[in-house]
Amino acid sequence: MGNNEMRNYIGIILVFSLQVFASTLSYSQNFHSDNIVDTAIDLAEQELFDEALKIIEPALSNEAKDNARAWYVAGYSHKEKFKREVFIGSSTSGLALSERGKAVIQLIKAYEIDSKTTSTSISSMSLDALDYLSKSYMNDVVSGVRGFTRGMDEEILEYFNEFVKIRSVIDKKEDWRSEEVEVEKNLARANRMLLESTSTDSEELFTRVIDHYNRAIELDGDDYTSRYNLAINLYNRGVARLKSIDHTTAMFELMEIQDACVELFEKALNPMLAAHRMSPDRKETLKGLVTIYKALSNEEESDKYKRALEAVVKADSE
Amino acid sequence: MLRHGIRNIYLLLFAIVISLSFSWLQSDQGGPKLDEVNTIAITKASFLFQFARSNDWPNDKKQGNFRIGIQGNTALYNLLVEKYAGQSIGSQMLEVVEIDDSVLMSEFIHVLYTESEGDELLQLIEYTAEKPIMVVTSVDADSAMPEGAVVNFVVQTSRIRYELDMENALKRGLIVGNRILSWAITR
Repeated sequence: MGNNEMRNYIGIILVFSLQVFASTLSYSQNFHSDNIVDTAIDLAEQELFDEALKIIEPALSNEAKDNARAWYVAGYSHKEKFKREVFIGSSTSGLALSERGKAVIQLIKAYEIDSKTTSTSISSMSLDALDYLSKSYMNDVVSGVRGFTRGMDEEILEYFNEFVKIRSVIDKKEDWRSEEVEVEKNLARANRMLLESTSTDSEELFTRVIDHYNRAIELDGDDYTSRYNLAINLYNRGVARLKSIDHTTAMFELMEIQDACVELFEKALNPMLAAHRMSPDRKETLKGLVTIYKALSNEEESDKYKRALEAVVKADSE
Repeated sequence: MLRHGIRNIYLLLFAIVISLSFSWLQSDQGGPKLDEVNTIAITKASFLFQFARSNDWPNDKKQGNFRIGIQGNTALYNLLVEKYAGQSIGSQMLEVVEIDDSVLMSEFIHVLYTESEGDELLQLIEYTAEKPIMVVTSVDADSAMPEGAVVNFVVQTSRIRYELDMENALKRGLIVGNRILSWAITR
């Protein structure tokens, strides 16, 4: 055997050995990762979720990072821990929020990995779990609006955004815009009720009312209620300012208040006119226009809508 | 794999709860109600109180009640009563009265607001001429300030403002305060 032949022979042996080593390593890693997953599943089935997570989570950044089952069992365990928290306390406690957040991330990852190749039951189970979690977010939106306290707006909108984010994974075609409009309208209403119930005036609450209605209009340009309610809130705010005038009000304050009121009445006019264009025979909009124009001392326009209102009332009674 | 049956039942119940939540969100309960209070009357009432407070009347009119009389605007009368009755103007108690001819004959009115126009207004001005009565009118925006009136409400860029006839005020023995003077407009 010459030197060259010997070199080639050694080369072949080396390449072959490396290939065997590499495949053994990969096999051993997969085997190890599957082994960890199976153990974690066993623990999760025994409802030992903390133990399951202790085993599976370190592997998610290493050998099991591309293992859909591993991500699913981790997500599932966090979801179950979230359910436990809800059962003993609230879905919005710090721990529950943290568990739910982790569950969502891990279940989405499980679904993404699994659906990249031939989907297995992991995909459908991940989606089922995500469906449950999305609804828990929606439930928190409704509870948040019902028990609304000052400054909860961002928190509630965050729940809704999470809900939409998960739903877009479940079905990209789903459109939740009309629900978002309702959430914004409900937040506007909640802030208004808070504003009406507080003894001290709050410009911040009023701004929130207006911002929520504007956002609702931005989302759905055809929403009548948002426009009508926006107009009423602006108008009533002006009236409330006027009502605040009393015997202690100085002349210059009276002038300032009047300026501020007229500005609010003018702002109320556009959304009220837009609402009227959407539904020309609606009595409350016509009444709104009669009132706003009157407050702006525009008797001519006020009378015009008054006649239109009378015609609608007459047509209704016939 | 992991308790499928129980999960499915749970998810079904959850779906029902969520659909109820959606319908709750979509119900438009407790929408804002239009505040129908008469804003023009509030503004005018506030001005009339300022006129009462910031001008000066002859000494012989600084006894008894200080009267603001309203003719032809019940909403304005009601608002003044609601908001300012019981307040004092200097050492006088403020009294708001709804004006008819019999009241004019029997009681002295310090500030007299009227929505009369034409002959009726002329008669009123004639009757009150040279008396220390601050006659406040509110005529159509296109009409000039009525002869003999001291103050006239006008609409300017959607705001209620007032014009002042100083000559008439002086003729009637009224001393118009600086604050009132400085906010008066001219057309």
